[in-house]
Amino acid sequence: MIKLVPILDRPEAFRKFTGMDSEEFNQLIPSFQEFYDYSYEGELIPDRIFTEIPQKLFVGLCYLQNKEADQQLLEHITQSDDKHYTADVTATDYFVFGKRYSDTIIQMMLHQSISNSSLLEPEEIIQVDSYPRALRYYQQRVDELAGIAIGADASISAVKSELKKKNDGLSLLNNLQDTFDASMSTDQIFLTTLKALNIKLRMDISALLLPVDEQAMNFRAGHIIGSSVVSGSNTFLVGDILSTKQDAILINRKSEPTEFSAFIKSELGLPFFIAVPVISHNKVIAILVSGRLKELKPFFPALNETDIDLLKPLAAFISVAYTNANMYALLDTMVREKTDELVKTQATVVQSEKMASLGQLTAGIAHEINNPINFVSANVTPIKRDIASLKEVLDMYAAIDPQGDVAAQLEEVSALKENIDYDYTLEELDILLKGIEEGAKRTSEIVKGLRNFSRLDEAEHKPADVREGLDSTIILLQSRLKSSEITVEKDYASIADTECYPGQLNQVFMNILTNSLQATEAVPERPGIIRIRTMLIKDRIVNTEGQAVSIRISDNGIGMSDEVRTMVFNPFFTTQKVGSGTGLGLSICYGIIEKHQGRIDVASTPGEGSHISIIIPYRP
Amino acid sequence: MATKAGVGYSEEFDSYLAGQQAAIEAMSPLEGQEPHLVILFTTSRHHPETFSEAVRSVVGAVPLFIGGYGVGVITNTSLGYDGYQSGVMAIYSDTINFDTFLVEHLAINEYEAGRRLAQMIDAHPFEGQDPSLMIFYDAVDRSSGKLKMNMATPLCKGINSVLDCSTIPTTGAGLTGDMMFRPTYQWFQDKIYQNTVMGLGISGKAKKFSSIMHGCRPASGYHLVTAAEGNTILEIDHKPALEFMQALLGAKTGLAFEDYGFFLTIAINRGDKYAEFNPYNYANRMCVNVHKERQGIVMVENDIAEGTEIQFMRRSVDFEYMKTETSKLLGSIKAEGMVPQFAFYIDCAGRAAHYFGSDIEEATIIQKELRDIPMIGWYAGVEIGMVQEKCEPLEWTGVLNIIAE
Repeated sequence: MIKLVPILDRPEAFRKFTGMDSEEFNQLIPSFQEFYDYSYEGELIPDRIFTEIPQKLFVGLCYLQNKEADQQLLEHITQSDDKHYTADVTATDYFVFGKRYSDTIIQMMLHQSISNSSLLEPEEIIQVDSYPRALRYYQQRVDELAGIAIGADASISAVKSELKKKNDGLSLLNNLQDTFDASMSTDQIFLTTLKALNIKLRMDISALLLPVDEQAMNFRAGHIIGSSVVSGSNTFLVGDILSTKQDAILINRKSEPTEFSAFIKSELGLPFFIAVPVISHNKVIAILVSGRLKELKPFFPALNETDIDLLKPLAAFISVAYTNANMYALLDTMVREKTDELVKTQATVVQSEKMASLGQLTAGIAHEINNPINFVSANVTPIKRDIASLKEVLDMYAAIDPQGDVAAQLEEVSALKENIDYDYTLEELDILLKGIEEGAKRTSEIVKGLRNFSRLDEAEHKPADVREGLDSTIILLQSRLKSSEITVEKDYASIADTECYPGQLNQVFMNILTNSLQATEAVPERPGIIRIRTMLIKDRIVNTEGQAVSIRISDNGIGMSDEVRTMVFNPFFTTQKVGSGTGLGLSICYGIIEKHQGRIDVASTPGEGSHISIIIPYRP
Repeated sequence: MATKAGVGYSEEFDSYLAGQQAAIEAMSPLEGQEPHLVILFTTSRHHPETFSEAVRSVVGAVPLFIGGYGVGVITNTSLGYDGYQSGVMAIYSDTINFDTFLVEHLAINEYEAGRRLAQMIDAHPFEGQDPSLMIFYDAVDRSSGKLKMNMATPLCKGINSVLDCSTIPTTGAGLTGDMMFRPTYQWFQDKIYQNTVMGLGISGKAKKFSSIMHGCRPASGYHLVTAAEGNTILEIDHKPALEFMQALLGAKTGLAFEDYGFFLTIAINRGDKYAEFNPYNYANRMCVNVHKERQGIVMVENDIAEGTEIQFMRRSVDFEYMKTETSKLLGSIKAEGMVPQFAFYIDCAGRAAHYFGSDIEEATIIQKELRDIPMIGWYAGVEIGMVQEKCEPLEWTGVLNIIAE
């Protein structure tokens, strides 16, 4: 009576086994589903199957734990005389359906058509069936809600994903804006952008195709980041594919392959990409290409319009940075050229200044050395004469014949000595030799002073006594000071050697003292005085921690107006006649003192004189 | 100086420069002390030899050197994935003991590899009251020339068969250097390996505090897997799995089958199925692909066999729970009178904002909560955490481990 069907793996196999056609089988599928819903409890034992299972469509469902139990159930069903369940059962009325879980666990269902059931009253059927039905109902609703919720999550994720992508793009632009400055080279700009694209927008390869011809028609991969390829070897005729109209090319899995996509794939190995032109002054200066090696959701989603929207401003940004960098480079070149020119001119002028100073100095030195040399040369003739006289005396002594009249011969010598004024001659010779000694000593001092002044062997920063430098300079100017009857009053404090550029400092002293001298000479009606004062002072500007050396040179010369005073340190400014000075003297002094991290100031009252103050850090 | 840890991060393209940059930053807080342990992670874009050589040039001859590839790297102040990210953690400690273990040939038999590792751990005389274990296994097997994933389910079963993980809490990660599953490399002492499972024992005065964070809640009722093969679910409630999913989600979602990968999350409730929801009882499983011909759903792990009752999970788009969980964890540490020393955050790559579809990176919450506790994290293929006192593979989960003493 009851046809028991072995458990099968697949519904289709079950259908074949029962011999039902597909239509008949499909009509039963909902029943199968309902059967399965009952398996939710899955804890019924064979005996209870006939007493507890609702009777609307199903009579029983059980899980059996072993083959013995399975056998028990089969026997129970087939041998049962309980008419409740077997009376009207026919082979077509009942189906056994199940699923194999393992060799020993079997799930079974007995199905009974309600029309054939005369065993229960309809009210009873409804009552006992209501709980499983309600459970099924709520299960379905829960699953529907699950589907809706999961679906909604998918939509939210998609939106948030796009939002994140846009935020990343914005953040990338901000970062680049902070990173780029006008001094960056175009190469740096390109590489920084490409690197940032790969990191921030998670591209695999980014590159810039650069034009190989003036018309910007043919392009070759120039800068590449993310690939082992350093630069492309082949060129591609881009032509109108990407024009100044800000077109963009998007190649993803759905795109039709093009010649350009084939070129990018062969050159960069990039199957999915976006290409946008970088335009500057209505000319395509590069093509920005950025893309991925794979499309795999959700890690590498297909590139889309959002990616184009991100790359376009980036291309524009590159263009601006590129233009700025080019302008900067141009400006830089111009500045360099002008600077070189200026340096050359300055060098020429400085050389002229040096030559002028040297001329001035030479005149002074010549004059200075001339005196002692004159001293020496003037003494030579009387010395020669005195020596000749003395020689004559000596010769007469030598000619005395001891055999002859010695007294008479000595008388002759005495007469000669008297004649030449022997004692005076000796005294004069002594004086003349002293004069020569004095002249030589003076010459030696001048040479020493000159050497000290030039300090050619001391061009480096080293400890030196500034007073020595001042004195050397005064020595070199001595003759002029004397001739102009200018008194130099010195008030030197005891200052130990300080770190400085001694040779350069002397150049400053020479310039300032010469100016003072000239200013004083310009007022011949009063005795000229130049005062030089050195001292150690506190000066927070020059030396925040320690002391500073102050050198103050004052004169009672002609002085200067405020207008002149404010310009004295300007290069090429001079109050002298054209051709007399270069106008660079004090400007150079200013530079030298600045190099010492010091300062130089001028105070002056027209008609009364000037004060030059030099302050340099004291670094013993 | 009892314990000092430093972390360094780099996005430098050049592997040598990256290694040096990250290592120099990591060494800085050690104030000249030589580290006892150096942990390093990079994405697959870095050259393994060059990177480790660079790190060694900075850290010197470190006793213990361990690490591997990750999809991305997380530190206290930086995070990134899918690029050139790399991270180094250097730890000096005279109170915490570190021990390293290695079992090779993982791909041949994951269960056996797990069992052998557990035997080594079981036989090791750990000092202190609360020894713990971190495991890092190579999730990618390309030794045959084809992609095969090394399974954490048998690996964990192997470990659980020997080791009482309730006494040595075991957490860890399946390492993969990118989501294209290129070959993974692992650093272990002075060598570079593939297809191994590495263990890092932490003992002495240290105790590991862990938290499992997935933020998933069951969205559906229970459904029965009625046919499965390996890691592919073929039927759910006697319906072809894809057909079932399509019916569940409805046509309006616009989701294509391709969208199911790394989106569908299925969980197995290891606890009382009708009890109140407890995230610690749930083992999350992620669908990584679909098998259209067989109408199946491909999972990472192969533990969803026929007869497994599953629930479809809904992933929380709000990551506030991470803040709560981290605070709780820090609270537990404080309650035991201990002080956090350093942390490891194992984050499922699928949780990264770009992959999950979020406008914020959830790892930033961990960064904020941990503040200055030195932390290195990495985006992993599979996370391993403690469920019902056993180690178990988890997916779409963040496993935060704080080592305190």
